[in-house]
Formats: sequence, structure tokens, C-alpha cells
Amino acid sequence: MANDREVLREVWEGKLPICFKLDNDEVVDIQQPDPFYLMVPRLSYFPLVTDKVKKHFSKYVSKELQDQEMWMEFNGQPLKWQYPIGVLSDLLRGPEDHLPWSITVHFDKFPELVIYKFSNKETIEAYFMSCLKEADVLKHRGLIASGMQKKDHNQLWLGLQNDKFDQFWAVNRKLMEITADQESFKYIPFRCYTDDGYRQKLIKPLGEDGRKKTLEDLLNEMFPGRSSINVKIHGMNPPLETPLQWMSEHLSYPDNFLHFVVQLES
Amino acid sequence: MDSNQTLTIDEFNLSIENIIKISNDILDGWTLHVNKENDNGKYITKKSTISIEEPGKGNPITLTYEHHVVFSLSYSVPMICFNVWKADGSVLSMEEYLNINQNFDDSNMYNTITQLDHPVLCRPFLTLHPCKTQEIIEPFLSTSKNPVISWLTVVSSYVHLKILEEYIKHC
Repeated sequence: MANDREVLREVWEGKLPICFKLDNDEVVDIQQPDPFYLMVPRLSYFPLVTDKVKKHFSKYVSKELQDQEMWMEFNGQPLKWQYPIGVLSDLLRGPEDHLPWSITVHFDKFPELVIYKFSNKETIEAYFMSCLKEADVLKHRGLIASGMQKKDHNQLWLGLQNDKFDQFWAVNRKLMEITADQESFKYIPFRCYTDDGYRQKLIKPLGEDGRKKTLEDLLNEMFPGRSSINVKIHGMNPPLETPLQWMSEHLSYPDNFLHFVVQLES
Repeated sequence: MDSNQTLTIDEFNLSIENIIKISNDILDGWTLHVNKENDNGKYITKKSTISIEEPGKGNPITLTYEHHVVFSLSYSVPMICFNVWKADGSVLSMEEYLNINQNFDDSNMYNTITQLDHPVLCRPFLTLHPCKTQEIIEPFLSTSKNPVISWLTVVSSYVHLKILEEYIKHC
């Protein structure tokens, strides 16, 4: 059970300043549009916070493109909307990329094989809920998420969408509990992101001898034989001796996964 | 649910290797892929082209499917992921697909077909959601010689995948 509520709130309130610019080649108006600045929650997803951005830029592109799905790019890479914003920032922004984070907006040539085509918020909701269910399968064999009512699922989604901490956590705390027949979660829901995607593995929070496993144990299981690994979550490097169970309860994203961005140093 | 039997990754790998063997014998076009970085790195794929009537319009359209059969570590079940192209080479979005494929014509369709990341390739595919697969596959686990084929015979027709009789003989 999550006790360190201040940590949860601190993580929830993490924000990133972003400067959106429209790709020059797509501007048909004589006047160049002003960049659009926005402060966005790290835990959210781009399609949930960029309605205003789309409205601002769509009048500067040609008529045929105005109704196209907007997509975003940083340093030549399309941003995957299905990754939380904080994950994209940890993954793509290097130490020399200062804030505000400068992102290019496009309406043309949607890279549909690389990123999801999110045509409506229901699709995003379906994706988010399926991640959350998968996490619960790993933690509680799926029993808690499947025992919830539709209104609980709605409350989680609306809490995230409207940036309401109390609304979200009133339901999410149940997903973070250890049930009576458990000593810990069954497995820790996590993903390790590298340059070319991410990897998952079944990792238990306790060792055979009942010892609490740490982030270091997880990295050893994921990347055996690699000693210098840089791990980032929520824009920080967590201590390697942090217990996994605690991390899962306190540092997971709203989809209930720990999203670690990993750099293997040579 | 712990007492329930689940398909292990080794059983899955044996099953798909068996499918490849049958496919090679009858030239059915399944290919095995191995990604050593992942615990569940083995999966099989097949491309096929079908012609169906466009719902409501009646004119025939040609679709090219690429089906993937891959193992989900979290659910401990096999998954079908696929991409679909129209004749002009464009990829169908989930909405377009659900308009064309009337097998999912019910209120719950978003729960059945979801866009998910492919467990090995980590990029978006249309996916028959794995949360009900355990219920389908469980009866086959103790009775079938190839539970993956048995499961495919139940679900494949929803996503226009043909499983020939040669496979069914082996399960």
C-alpha cells in the first residue's frame, strides 16, 4: 500500500514546458505562425493536451491538410503518442537540449507505421486501459482491475485526462494494494526503453530467500554482464538500491507501469 | 486463477516451430523470426491477400494482411497481431478496419481489437486483445498436441486468417 503520499503528489505534479512550432514547409499563409507554448504534465499523453496546439496551427496549413491528424517530431524522430510525455522527454532529450522542449508540429505525411493514428480519445483510452489491465495481470493476476466497475475505470481515465490527483488516486490506490494472500506484487510491471524500443521481462519483487529485490537486481536480470548503466525515470536517476516493490507503488506512471529509460554505457 | 494451467513459453515455441514445419511441407508461407534480445523473441508471420465485399457498398476490395503470432509474457498466452494494407499501399487505421471487418460489429469492439505494441517489435499493430485468450486456450492445454493451432482454429476466422486442414491434423 502506498504510504508516501507526498512522493505520489510530487510525481503527479511533474511538468514540462514545451515550445511547439509548425514545420516551415507546411505553412501556406504569408504570415509565419507564432510558436505555441504550453506547460504539460509529464504523466499525460500528447493527444490529451494538444487540442489547443492543433487549433492554433491548423489555420496556417493548406485546406486539405487541416483535417488531417496532427503529429509531432523532435530531432527527426516522430513522437510516439502512446508513450507518456515524461518517457519521451527522458528518452529523447539529451543534456544539451534545454527547456522549453522544442517540438515540430506536422499535418502532412503521418508516419503511420511508426506511430499510432489516434483519431479520437476513445482509442487512447482503450490503449491506456489495456496497459493498466496488463499491469494488473502482472501484479494481481488481473483480479483487481477485472473486479472493478466501469465507473472506476472511467474515474481513472478522467482523473488522468483532467489532471485530478485525488480523483485518480481514490481508485488507483486499490490497484497498488497488496492483496491478503500476497506478500508483494506477483511481478513488477515495468518497461526498459533503449534507443530502438523497449523490453519487458517477468521480474518478481522478492528474491527466492524473501529478500527485497532492488533496481540493481532488475538491471542485472535485464542486462546481465553490463556494469555501467544509466537509468532515468521522471527526469531523475533513482538510487540503484531502491526496492522494486516500493518503486512500483510510488513511481509508476498512471498506466501502472514503471517506465525506465536505460542507457548502456560502453 | 493460479491453479489454472497456462501455456509456457517453451510450449509456445515448440508449437510455432511445428507450424513452420507443416507450412514448409505444404508451402503455406509462414516464416519464423528470432530476436535473441527478448525472452519471447520467437514469433511467426504470414502475408496473405484476400478479396472481400465492402460492407454496405458491395464492391470487392483487396486487402493484404500480415499476421503475426507472438507470445505475450504478461498474459502468458499467444497473441495475433496484424497490419492490413489496401490495394493502394495505405495502411488501414483501426476505425477503417472495423468498418470493413464486420466480425467485430458489436458495442464492445474496442475491447476486442485494440491497437497495441507488438511484444517484440514494439510498434503498433492491430491486436486481438489477449485478455480473453486464456479462457479459449485452457481446455486445449491438456488435450491438444499443439495448443497454438487449436487456439488459432477458434479465433483465426475473425481476422481473415486461413488455417488449413493439414495443421488441424497435428493437434
